[in-house]
Amino acid sequence: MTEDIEVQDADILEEDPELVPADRRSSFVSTLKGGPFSLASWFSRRARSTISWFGRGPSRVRGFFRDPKTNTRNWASRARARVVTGARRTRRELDTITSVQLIAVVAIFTLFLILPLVSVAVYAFTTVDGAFTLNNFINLFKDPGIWPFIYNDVTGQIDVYLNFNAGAYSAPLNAIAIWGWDFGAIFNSIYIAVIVTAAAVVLGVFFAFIMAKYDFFGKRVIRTLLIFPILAIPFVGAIGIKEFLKLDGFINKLFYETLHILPSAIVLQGIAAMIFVQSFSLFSLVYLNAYSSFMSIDPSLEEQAENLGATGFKLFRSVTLPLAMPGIQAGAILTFILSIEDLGSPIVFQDHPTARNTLAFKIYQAVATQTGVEGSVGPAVGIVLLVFAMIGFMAIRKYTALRSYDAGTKGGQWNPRTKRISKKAQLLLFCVLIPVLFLALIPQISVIMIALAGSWQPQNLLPDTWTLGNFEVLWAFPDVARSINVTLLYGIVATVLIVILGASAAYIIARKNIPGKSALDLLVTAPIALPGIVIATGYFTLFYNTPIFPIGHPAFLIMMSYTVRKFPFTVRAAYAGLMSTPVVLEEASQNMGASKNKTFLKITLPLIGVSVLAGSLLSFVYSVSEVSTSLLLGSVGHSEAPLTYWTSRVLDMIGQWGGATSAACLGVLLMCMQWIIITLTNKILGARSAAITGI
Amino acid sequence: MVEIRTENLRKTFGEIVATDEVNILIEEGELATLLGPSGCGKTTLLRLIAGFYEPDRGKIFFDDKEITNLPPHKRNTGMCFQNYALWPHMSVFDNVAYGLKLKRINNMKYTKIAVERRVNEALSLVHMGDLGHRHIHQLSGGQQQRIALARALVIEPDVLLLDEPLSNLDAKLRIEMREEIIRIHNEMSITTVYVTHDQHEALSISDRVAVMDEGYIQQFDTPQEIYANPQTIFVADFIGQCTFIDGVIKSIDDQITVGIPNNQSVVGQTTIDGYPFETNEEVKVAIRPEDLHLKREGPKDNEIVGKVTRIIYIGNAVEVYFQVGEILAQALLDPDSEIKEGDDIHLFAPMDEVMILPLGGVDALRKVPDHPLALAPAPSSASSDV
Repeated sequence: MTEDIEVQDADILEEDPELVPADRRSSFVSTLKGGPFSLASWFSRRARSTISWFGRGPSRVRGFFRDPKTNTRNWASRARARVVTGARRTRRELDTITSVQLIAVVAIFTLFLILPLVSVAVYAFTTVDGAFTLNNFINLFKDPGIWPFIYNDVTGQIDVYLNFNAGAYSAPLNAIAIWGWDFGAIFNSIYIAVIVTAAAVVLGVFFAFIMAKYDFFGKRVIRTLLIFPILAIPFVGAIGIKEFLKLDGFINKLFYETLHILPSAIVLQGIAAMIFVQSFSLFSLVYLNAYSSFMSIDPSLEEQAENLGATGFKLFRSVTLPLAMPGIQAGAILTFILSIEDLGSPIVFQDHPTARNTLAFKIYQAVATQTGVEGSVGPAVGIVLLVFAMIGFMAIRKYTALRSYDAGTKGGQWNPRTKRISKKAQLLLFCVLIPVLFLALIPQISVIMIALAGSWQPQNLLPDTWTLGNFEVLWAFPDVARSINVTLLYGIVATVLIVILGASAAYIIARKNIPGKSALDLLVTAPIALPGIVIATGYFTLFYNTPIFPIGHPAFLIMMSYTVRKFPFTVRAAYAGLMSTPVVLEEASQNMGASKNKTFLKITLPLIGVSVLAGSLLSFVYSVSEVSTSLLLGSVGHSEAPLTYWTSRVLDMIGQWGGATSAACLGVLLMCMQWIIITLTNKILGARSAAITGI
Repeated sequence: MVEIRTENLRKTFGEIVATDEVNILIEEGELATLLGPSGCGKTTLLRLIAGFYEPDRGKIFFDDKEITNLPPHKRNTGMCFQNYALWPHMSVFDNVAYGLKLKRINNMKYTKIAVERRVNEALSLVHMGDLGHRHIHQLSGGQQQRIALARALVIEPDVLLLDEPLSNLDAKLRIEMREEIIRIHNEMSITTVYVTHDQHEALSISDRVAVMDEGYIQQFDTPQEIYANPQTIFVADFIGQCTFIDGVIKSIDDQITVGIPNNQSVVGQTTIDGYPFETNEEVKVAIRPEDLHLKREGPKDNEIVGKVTRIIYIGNAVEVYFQVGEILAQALLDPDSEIKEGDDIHLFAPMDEVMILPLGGVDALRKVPDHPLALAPAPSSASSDV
């Protein structure tokens, strides 16, 4: 009997000999191949249709002037008819409450998202006197910290500031320091984001596939652990990793001094360290999206392919991966955007000059140090960053539209295709999983260890004593203690606003047929991609020293920025809930005599309540851990600054309560808050966990 | 109880015309079926009556009251959805009670006891009396269907709307539920509109059937009339089986003589009263398989000669396929008849069973004086907009 089982297991192993390598390779190859290619084809399609539109232009104009009177009349009557039917449709679709909510959403987003961004753009393109200028941008290209190819007036040649010196070896210490190339902020940010995205896709798809397709001992534990990286925002993780990656940090002590695996000590600094931190905290975005894509593939699609003779890697490459691709691509693009706008890790690693040469840090430097906007470097860099983020966002929109084929099943039985794997295969799996998981969890492990470490002799691997005493930092500064309350308050106010407006915004998008609906959808989803630091810059250029933003009191704006920036999580979750709830359930209620409002309250809300709850919890979590606007706005009103601001301040401070240990304590506090809520949300959402990423 | 009247109803989705020029009158207490292939516009018409769509043009009346722009919750219709649309977050009892709790009669609402009594009555009407406490996912398909019916009936609607209510059930349950619906309809005699694509269901259940195709009502009549006197080629083809032969009219008197290929000719009757046939008009001759006989029954019977290509035994009869010129025709014959494949066969069709139909479908019907389509406004918008 046992022999039988073993033989069977061996068969399974032989069936999928490519299990691990194939998985990595295919996801890697297809990202390299598929992503850029389809992006390019999308752009070329767009370009072609635009060109042909312009091409048809002259003939349209000619046609118009052949009979201008009638044509004008026709055009006017068509336009009038369109306005009239649009207005009539709106009146029919919306009742008073929905209209009020709709107006509130549009007003808030205009005031706290669009206008700030517009004002940044205006600042970037005007001189102090208010005249139009491109000088701010031209100046960017004269700064070797931003652009590496600079025209030299004296020699008449282009000076190149590409610094390929990516690391150094120190013989006396037997240590290698790696900090990465320096090509100026624009290229730095791009190449960091590309590497991080590639790493995140490889890791994310690998884990997602294993989790979705195989059953093994300890799966639940690993699944829970895999959710954690998403919580440690790069900011908190970076604090721990910085300590861990020092010359006498934990990693070197473990792998170089204790285990002797490494031939020399390795120190990551600047950009190299940022890539490391971002890769291991952002890969879970790809993981969550890929996981729910894999889970939502109708098993019969794969069974059909198997029935036709596709197995193993062929099956994965030809059916499974293409079906999951929209989800994976969406996760990858989101990773790209978050990496390019990440402010936390460059701040933590700013002691090395390469980390300072990134777009997000340049804006931070320009705005935070001057508390004003005299030099327009900040807005100009902000526009550059905004353009990159918007391109990425448009790409996401394209792929999320494709995702609709996730739920294409009609009846039939849903037999999940999870395979139980043999002991041998499991051992193999663990040999791969555990080291990768260890790396992925370093940010969390390191922060916790540092926060709890008592005395720690440099030569020892682990701290000599463990203590909770470090947490006394919470009481050391009154502002820090207050910032906890303040942070919770901001989070709660923002979340309440988000729920009140987000649920109905989702309802309008999903169910109502009004003109401008897709624009509304775009508006409430865009914040996920808009760099917070640019929005915060806009708050300074637009509102500074006005009743909304009195000097020294940023509280109101912080709340509004949380509301606007974390809105998409609730809207997307509610939207997903609505999409999985058949419209007939609402129609049946109307048929029974319930009005639209009554139907929304009694039928729709109970059915999507769970989704809205989960979404609002996420909005809350991401609000309290928000970094970029918090740092910028907090810097002008210490007593109203949130926890993330104080974490970064404490990190910079010198003295008993300054430095990494205290910052790590605050980080742990933040993480605990998130863990509790995310675990809760994950329980509620189950397989729909992609909603955590908000797309 | 109300009668439903529609006036020149039209609904489009973008470029697609879902339904057009619908003029029907469904009488009080009648069970009318909308029958047609998928995509013919029957569900659109039902949802127009329920109020989930607003027509582009035309009016709907319940009795003399126009309800075209009335929102669905004010129409007092009970609808049974194709997938039942039972609310998963409520028990069976709550699902059925929902409409009653919302119902207001002269600004008065039902007491809790009244609601309970009525829900229990409705549940026992569909033989589900003891399952009120269950949750929806604990019910089988047939049980869900009954609950959906009970939910629609309990509010005592003026109009009962059923959207393919039996399509998700297995064959045996379908017949059972069909009987159930007939029983309940007879008991309560509510004006009912029933949507289906199954002709057996439609013919067996309805007082009158509206056969629809491509958005138009092709014919609205009793099942017997629909079968015996189809008004368009589509109806003849969709209901039952038919052999069609192209032909040209040779002469018209009481009967119509049509020349068909191979220099044969047949004599038949039109099914459309008042249609102005002309000589030399191209028409289709339609003959039902069961109207072809091996023996001559009257002196004037049409004789058709063909070559047998295939014989299928179906128990109480044999289906005989035979070739006439280029056309493959079908006959339903006595199972004892000794016919072999390859034989030449002589078949006889009585004159009054041979149907002569004009080409052109519903557009041809516009030529009939008094026909609803002839009375409707100019059809130009219907075709040119598409």
